[in-house]
Amino acid sequence: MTSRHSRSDSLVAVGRTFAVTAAVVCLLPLPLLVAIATSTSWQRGAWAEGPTFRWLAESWDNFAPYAGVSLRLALLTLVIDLILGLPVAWALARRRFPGRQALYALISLPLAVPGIAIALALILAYPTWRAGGWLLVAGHVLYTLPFLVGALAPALAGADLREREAVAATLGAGLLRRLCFVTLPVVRPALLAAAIMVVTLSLGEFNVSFFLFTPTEKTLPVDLYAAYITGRLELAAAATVWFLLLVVPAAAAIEHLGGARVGQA
Amino acid sequence: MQQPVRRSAPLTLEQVHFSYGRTHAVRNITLAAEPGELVVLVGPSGCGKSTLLRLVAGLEVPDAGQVLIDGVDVRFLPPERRCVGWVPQSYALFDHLTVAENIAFGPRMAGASRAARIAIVAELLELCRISELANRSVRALSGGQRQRVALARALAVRPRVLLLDEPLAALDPQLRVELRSRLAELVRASGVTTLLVTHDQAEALALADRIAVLHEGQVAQFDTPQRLWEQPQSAFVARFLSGATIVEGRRVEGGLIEIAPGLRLSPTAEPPPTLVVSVALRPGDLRWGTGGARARVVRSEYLGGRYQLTIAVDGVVPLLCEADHPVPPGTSGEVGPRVGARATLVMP
Amino acid sequence: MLAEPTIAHQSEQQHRPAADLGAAALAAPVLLVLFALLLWPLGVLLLRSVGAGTGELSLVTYREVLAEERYWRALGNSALMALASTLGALFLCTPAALYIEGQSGYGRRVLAVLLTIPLSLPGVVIGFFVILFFGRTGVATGLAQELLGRRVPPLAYTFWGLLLGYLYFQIPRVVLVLRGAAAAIDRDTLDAARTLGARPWQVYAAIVVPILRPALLSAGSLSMATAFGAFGTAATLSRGYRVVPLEIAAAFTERFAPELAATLSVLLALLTGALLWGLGAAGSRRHGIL
Repeated sequence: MTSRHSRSDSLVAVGRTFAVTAAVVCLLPLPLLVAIATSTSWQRGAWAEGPTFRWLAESWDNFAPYAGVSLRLALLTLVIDLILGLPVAWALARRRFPGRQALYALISLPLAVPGIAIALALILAYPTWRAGGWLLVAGHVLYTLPFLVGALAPALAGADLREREAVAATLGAGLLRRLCFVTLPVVRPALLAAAIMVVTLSLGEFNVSFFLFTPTEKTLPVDLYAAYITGRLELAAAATVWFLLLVVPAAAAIEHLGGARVGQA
Repeated sequence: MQQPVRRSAPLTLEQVHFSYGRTHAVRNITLAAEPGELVVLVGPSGCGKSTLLRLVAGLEVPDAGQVLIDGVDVRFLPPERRCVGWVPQSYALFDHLTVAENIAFGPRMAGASRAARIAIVAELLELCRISELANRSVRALSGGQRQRVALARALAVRPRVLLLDEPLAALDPQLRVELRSRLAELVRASGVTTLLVTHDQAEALALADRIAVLHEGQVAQFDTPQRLWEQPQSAFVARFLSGATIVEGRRVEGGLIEIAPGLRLSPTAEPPPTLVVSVALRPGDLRWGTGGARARVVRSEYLGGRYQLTIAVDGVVPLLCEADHPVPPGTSGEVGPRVGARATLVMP
Repeated sequence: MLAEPTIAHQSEQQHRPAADLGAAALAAPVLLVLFALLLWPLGVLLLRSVGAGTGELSLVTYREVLAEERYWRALGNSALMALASTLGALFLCTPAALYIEGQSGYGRRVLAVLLTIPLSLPGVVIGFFVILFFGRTGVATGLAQELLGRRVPPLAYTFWGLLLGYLYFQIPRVVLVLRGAAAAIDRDTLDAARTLGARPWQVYAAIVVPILRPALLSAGSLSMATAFGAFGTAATLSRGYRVVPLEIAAAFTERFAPELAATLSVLLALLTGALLWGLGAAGSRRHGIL
């Protein structure tokens, strides 16, 4: 297989320029954020009196409980997604039945509807549940389930995998054994990537959470929003740094695992 | 970018080097093609041959050496300005366009008027005998049709050099032999100097005006098919082109070469003054049955109508010979040269 | 569209009726949940928008909304924002996706990861980033003030600030969709176009864009639908530039008019739904999960 080594190739150069520009745009805010979060006073200039960890420490005290809430919510969402989503992904990948397309469209429907509309719909439909925080869970599940199913179904549908399972069956392995020793190892990267993606999406969910949160179930993005609107710049930046530390490594992990496909799904 | 004209040959490669990573794909390649000539680059599967085509097309830049088209150094000329016709192995047709639109692509890029484009397309459809396919979508074509469209598309820019990368490899084996001669006809009818790459030695021998045999990134020999067959300059060339076995022969009286006791053939050329010479023996050179040497059959393979036997002769490496009846392994017997067979000498 | 699954075992063929039941059993929980949490609430939303709560059904809120200039302006703003950010993202990301998929090795992985950073960020954080650069004390604002020697109004809370935020938000999503399609482009096709005399911009116009058209439409429709519905970025950056989600929030939380909010939501949902299925279906053949 030839490696394309066109060093002075203008077509490649165009692509490279755009890619690097886009990457720089994506990356640029981060160092600025860290600089602000570690400056004593941004108005006086970056690190005017030397870098400080004061803001990071202060915001951590505020941040930690919300991080706890968000993580708990994310994990709960993941569990519910898996319970609901694994069987459906299996069915969509391996069974032929009328309404497959419709089912998949239904699962993806929340992505077509603005978050604010779904939040409002939930509030109007179940006004008494709002206080308990369960509508918040519902919103998160609705928005993450399509990604889970969308990532798992192709993995489960792979022809290679089905062939291996068939071979295992001829070698005497029953259904449970096949699932454990053949299916699971092959599907594991996709499963892991999808799980991380669900957690990441849940951690970062704002559109729905903003209308469905309760005093006890207040998520990170909602808290960040409050900081942006009313808080001091350095403090808000520090809170954001903590948030990024939580969320950005997950994105890298997803890419490393081969990337979970978003697309139209 | 004008340089003093060294040779006005349509294509000249001088000491071209190219490597990626730590592998040298192409080393010290020097060759030149005459106008209208069909030069075939042949060699074992590996990246050297295709890379050479990409270098001529401008899709890669050589690390060292010169690529001259019509005597002009094109090393820094991008592919869109080189005016070469490049047909990759996959043909790379534009799926979203019809056959006619594919062929018209080059002229369109050059800014030709609609009338001019129509004329060129008609001319090439005629030349390649695909006129009936003009408005068909490319997706629905057979392998042989796709090949001809790719060729027509490349010829539409009136290239100075035509580069064909394994043009027959994507086709079914039965088709290959039939389409081979049609391809040669077409290329010669166009009159364009052509560089064709293949790993199939039979194809090379059938198509080429001259063949450059590549070995480990270098040109082992660059000659006409006949001279390559009759006067191989290296063991590799002899083995690769004809499946020969290389043995040592001794010069004996009568101007003959002796391979083994009792097995003598007359050489194809004047042997060098040394006592021991290198001989390339082809499977068909020896026949089982009568002759002068004793041998024992080790293996027998049916080739359809005839049998190829691997035989052990005293003091010599295992040889191949042919028989027209089955001979079970283990049989001892006699082997001798086929009537009219000669010893092909390997002389660098 | 969803591809047909190939049945691996011969035995499964014989169990066809049972397979359907099995599929029904697997899908039942999800169906129940979706009905309860999605379909029913959306139905309630629709009903409330036509005044179900007030005792009589009428389209009065719809008439109100369509009559008021304020909402048309918000719609116009939303549309402009969606279109501009989508086109900008497509323009930037098409060559970028092509480059990433055409290379192998370390550099490409780094670029790919960098481009997925905004994917995990909520709109509010992105809005904050815009403030950091273009707000009153923003880096770019300060730089401009130094260069121009006078006070420069902050860009963050205007159309341009919001646009940059939306663009930042769109880049990873668009790149992700385009990368899949770009990987399927045969490099030889692009090389062949070049040897036929196509300059780089011609390669894009005549070859890349036509081949990528389904993916571009798919990415574009997803991008526009997301932009219409995005709330977080606008909430952080809004001081004057109103978009539809902000109006919905205002109707609900400030004016306590759930019917109005419901009406606006229904209209917005219809718009984004239409965008996704209209443009998306016209484009992608890569639809679906298989």
